[in-house]
Amino acid sequence: MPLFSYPLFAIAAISLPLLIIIYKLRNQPKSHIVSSLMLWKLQKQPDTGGRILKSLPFPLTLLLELIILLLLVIAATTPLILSGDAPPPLVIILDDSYSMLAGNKTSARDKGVEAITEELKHDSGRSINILLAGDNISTLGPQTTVVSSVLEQLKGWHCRAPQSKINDAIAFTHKMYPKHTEILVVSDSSPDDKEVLPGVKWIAVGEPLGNEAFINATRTSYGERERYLFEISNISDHKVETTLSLHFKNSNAKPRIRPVTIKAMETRKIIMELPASLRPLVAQLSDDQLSIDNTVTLMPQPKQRVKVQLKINDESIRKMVLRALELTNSSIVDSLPDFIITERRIGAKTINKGLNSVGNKANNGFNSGANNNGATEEAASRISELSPLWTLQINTVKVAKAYTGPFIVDKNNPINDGVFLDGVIWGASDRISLSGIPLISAANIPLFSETIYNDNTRLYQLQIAPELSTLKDSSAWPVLIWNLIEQRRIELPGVTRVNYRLGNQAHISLGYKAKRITIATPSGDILKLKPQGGEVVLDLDQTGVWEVSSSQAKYKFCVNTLLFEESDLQHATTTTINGWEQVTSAHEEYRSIAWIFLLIALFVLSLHLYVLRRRMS
Amino acid sequence: MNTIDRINDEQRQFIHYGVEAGMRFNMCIPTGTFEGGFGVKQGAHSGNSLEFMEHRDYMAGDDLRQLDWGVYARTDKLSVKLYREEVNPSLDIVIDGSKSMLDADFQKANVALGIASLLATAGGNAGFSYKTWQSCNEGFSLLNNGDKTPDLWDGINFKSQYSPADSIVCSNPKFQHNGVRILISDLLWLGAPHEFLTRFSYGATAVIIIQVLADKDINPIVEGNVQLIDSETGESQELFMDSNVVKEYKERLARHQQSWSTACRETAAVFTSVNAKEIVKDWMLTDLINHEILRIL
Repeated sequence: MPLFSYPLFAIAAISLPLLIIIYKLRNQPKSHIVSSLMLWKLQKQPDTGGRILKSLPFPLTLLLELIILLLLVIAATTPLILSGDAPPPLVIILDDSYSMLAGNKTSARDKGVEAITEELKHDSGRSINILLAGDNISTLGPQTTVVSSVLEQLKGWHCRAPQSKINDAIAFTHKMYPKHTEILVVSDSSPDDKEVLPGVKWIAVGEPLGNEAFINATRTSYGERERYLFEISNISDHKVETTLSLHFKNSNAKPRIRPVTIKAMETRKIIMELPASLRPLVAQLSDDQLSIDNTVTLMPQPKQRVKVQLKINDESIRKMVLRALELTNSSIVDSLPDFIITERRIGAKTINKGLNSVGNKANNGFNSGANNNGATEEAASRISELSPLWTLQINTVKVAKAYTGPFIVDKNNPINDGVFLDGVIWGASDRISLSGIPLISAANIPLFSETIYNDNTRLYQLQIAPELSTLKDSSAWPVLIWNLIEQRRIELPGVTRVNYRLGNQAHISLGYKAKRITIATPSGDILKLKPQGGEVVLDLDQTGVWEVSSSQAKYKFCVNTLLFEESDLQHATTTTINGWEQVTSAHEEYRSIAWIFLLIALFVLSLHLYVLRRRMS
Repeated sequence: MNTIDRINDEQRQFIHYGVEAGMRFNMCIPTGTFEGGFGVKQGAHSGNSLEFMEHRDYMAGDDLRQLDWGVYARTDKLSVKLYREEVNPSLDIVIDGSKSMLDADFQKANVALGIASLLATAGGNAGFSYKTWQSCNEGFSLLNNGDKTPDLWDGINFKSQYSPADSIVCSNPKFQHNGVRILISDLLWLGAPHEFLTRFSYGATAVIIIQVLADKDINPIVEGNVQLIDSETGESQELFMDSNVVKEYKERLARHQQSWSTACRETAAVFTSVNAKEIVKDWMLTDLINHEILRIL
């Protein structure tokens, strides 16, 4: 009993009765009265109609058309039959980690290609899929039955991943492909337990080699100077002498070359201080068996400060805020702010009038915000163009009570990271309700709240009676302000980091107005994306300099290998473990026989054309 | 109570056309024996009239009273004196009353009535007494006033399910003895013409068969898938009509006409076929004129 891949296509069989109805209506004979049938009855009927029409249940052409339709419907449903002697499908799992690029003269990758070519030499007609086992599992190309197509697909095997999840790829294959699928693994090392599952053939094409590699590198800015840290490992069983070459990209200065001697299986830490530069620094070791981990590029940290505008008249509050801001990565500006800190006094009269919702009033002031508080049109324009405005509104209350706790602090919100209010006295009014979600409250009295608007504009509201509070003298206050400024800095357009390890994810904020961005990868590929919510997250799977550009700005960052495990070539080996022999080679496989129906349909179509032509003649 | 099928106005009009056309003709008296030795018209043979026709030699058995003794005295030869016969010529006009005569345009029925009235008028001009019959389910029936002037004819209906061949078998028609018999029909029935002609010409002096066909009988033009329905029997047949089928039909019709023509020649009958559409243009029955059955006045 055949199976059907697409049984829903059987609904197309409705065309058969429709065709009969069309024929019936079209060929309905016209009545015609004649004097006598005697001369017509004696007619010898032509082959094209008349008696043949009458004697057959259907006209021949209709019969042929019905057969063609039926065959097409069956072919569309793609019938499958079990074929007993079909070779099992093959899935080739390729180790995509960069250690596959190591080798004396020939890399493990090239040896792997040769091994696959040899393996497929006598293969014909089996379906072959290729999976890349890197940081993720991905297919290298479409399923194929042609060996030359497999070799063509192997050109896309670049070996750039920071690790190879071969076991995940085998599990994936077992889940997604038929049970009798044969798996061919090509790697530079043998499986962990030196054994393979039945149906898995593991070809290891690596060789144990010594290797010197960067396993860590940082670049930190100290005012006019920058400090560099390099950790270089000698992953071999003998001492090596290598050179560390440093130079700034696009600079005419001579590279700084420093000899480095490292004992076997040791890591040498090198710290250097150099004058600050805006250029990327390239550090390079002498050539060895694996070149990809001999080079490190370090980009300068962007000096990104949050621009804060203060609109505080009360001197004591202003001092309190300024003291906390001194510790943050921010600068005070009069225009184009990223963050506005305002003050609002709420007296007894206001409260008695029933102003129990500061939030509404605050919103009104906030929405018309910048202009009411003296910010320029330019600022408003810039804010809406690039990044949303954040505002901290400090509501000072005169009529208040002093609360000593316990305070309810939302620890899930990063704004409250490290904010401890033990021993703090917080003066506040119980008749004021703040808008948004309370981040800090005393019982049911909100003290600090957060409101996030659709355009990611944020309003933080804080109510405090300075005379009754010790908050400003506690550590919680500068921590709270530092958190606000730091979170704002993270949200600023641009990259928060510029130096990544291979396999990291880069979060790039582009501003919520960025509609389309272009990403240039180190290999030269150009990707065009539509960022969602003004942010894009990239899986960094290539080493080198990446460039992300939008209509507003352009950002660069660098990716280096810096992975000890992958640079360790000591465990590489050459071996073959064949698990294919453990299962029978003959398998039953479902094969599509749709082509048979299509061929018959073509034949019947030709017959139909012949009949029509004969009728025409 | 039988109701009389009245001739409609259109048919009456065609009878009128036939009468007008018949006024131009005189029907000739054929050589043969007519009913009644003492008629009002001179026959083609010698007879008992007072009008002298010719002398001939005496043959054994001749009436001695007709010997011309004067010739014998002058020439010493026995000669018989012959006088022209006097005949009373009669005409039976039989109209095919089957349904097949009622084609879609009533062409055949109307023209058949027109030809019948033409022949009746021409016969009347020649002193023929005539009777007009129609074939019907019961055999042959005389039209109401069928022996009077055509304008008075009535009672023809063209409803018979049988052809004249069937009618003549199932009845004994009372046609006039030794008269001229004319059949006006489309002749579209199966069966040997000989058989019908033998029965039809029995006791007749002369027989004339006039085939009237509608234009659609001669040139069928329908094409495609058709269901042909027999006007008499209601029997139907589906056909895919194309030029080949029509061509074969025409050939078969020609063979059918030929078989009638041959049978008529063999039974000394006169056969002619007319296209109902064409004849109404001038009402000239050329074949009958050529056979000297009709003479233009």
